[in-house]
Amino acid sequence: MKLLKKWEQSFMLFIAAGLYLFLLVFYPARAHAALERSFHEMENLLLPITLAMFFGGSINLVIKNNVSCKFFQGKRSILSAGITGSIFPPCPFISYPLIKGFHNGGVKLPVIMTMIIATTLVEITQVFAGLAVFGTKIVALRIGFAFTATMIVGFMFNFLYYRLPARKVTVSSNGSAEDQ
Amino acid sequence: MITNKTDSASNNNLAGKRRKHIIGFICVLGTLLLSWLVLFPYRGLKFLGSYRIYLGKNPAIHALIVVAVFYYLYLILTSREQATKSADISWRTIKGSFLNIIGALLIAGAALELIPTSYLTALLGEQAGIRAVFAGVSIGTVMPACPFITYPVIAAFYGGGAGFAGTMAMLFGSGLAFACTISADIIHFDSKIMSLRLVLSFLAALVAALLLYFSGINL
Repeated sequence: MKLLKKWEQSFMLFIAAGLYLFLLVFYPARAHAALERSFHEMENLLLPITLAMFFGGSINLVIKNNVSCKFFQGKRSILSAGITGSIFPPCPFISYPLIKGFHNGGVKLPVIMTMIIATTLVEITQVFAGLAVFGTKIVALRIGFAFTATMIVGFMFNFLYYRLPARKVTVSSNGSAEDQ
Repeated sequence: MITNKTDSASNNNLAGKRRKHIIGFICVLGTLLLSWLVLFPYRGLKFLGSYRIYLGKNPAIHALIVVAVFYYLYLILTSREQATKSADISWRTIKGSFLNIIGALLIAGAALELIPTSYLTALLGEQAGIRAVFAGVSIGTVMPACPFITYPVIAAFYGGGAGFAGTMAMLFGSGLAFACTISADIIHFDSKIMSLRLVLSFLAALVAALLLYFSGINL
């Protein structure tokens, strides 16, 4: 039960169980195909994910966050985050520990979110796969438009994060917090 | 006497730093050489025969494995304490998230089987207009994040009748809500960050796809 201490992890397993129960009852042939596809993906992904987690778990210890966090402050923070996230490995088990390290080092939420969006959307390091399957033009269009969109959303979120009026919370005479 | 001890200590520090630099240099050379080998001449690791399926299809992952191996080698040779601490943190993360990853991969397999192919092709065709953009991003979000699995599938849709706008929308959206990515959000952050990331990255994928659609570019 220690493995299931986070409620969200239990939720993922319950969804998987529910989906397969649904498939087994209504579409048994598809359930078999789904299981085969899942096992095929496990064969392809389990070892790389495990190695990625070994790498990601350690790199956070080595990078000096107080030095690297300076790049993510000030007016160019969103742009720096977008560029950095774009060149991070797209595998979240490697990039997320790095990004979490920046977050723990005091980098603000809009910058962190821009970095995460860039990591999952731009994925410059996946250029080999794109070139092999689609060719240069489609890869260039994908990276160009994805980066532009990341910057638009990143700046927009940054604007809303700092410009929206903050909720004022007062402490009443009996000690409870009340929103105004 | 005190001066001699201070000189000896600083000499030891310099020797230690020099040793670290030399080991680091050798590890970087080894990383670059082996990465080049797995990315170009031995791309796909065919010499491993049937065992290569356990390392995945993505050469970028093979290169990352090389980087991880040399990185830990560097840590072991320069700071055993840090290597042990890193391995301990990583092992605890793996133990805590193993069932989550298995659940995520099971969900991914089932989700793809629930969507009929002919329906997808009709939804993403040129005749669908701007709806193909929204449909493409939505479908792409639940596809696997690994491009060596997803890109051939998307290319097959493109060749099977999906329009350029719908295809690019799928590319922009691919893997955003893949079960493994969501499980990584939960493991490393929390459900609030996960929800925020999903909304913002979906929005960014939509913005990218709409910008491309209205630019009039069509290959």
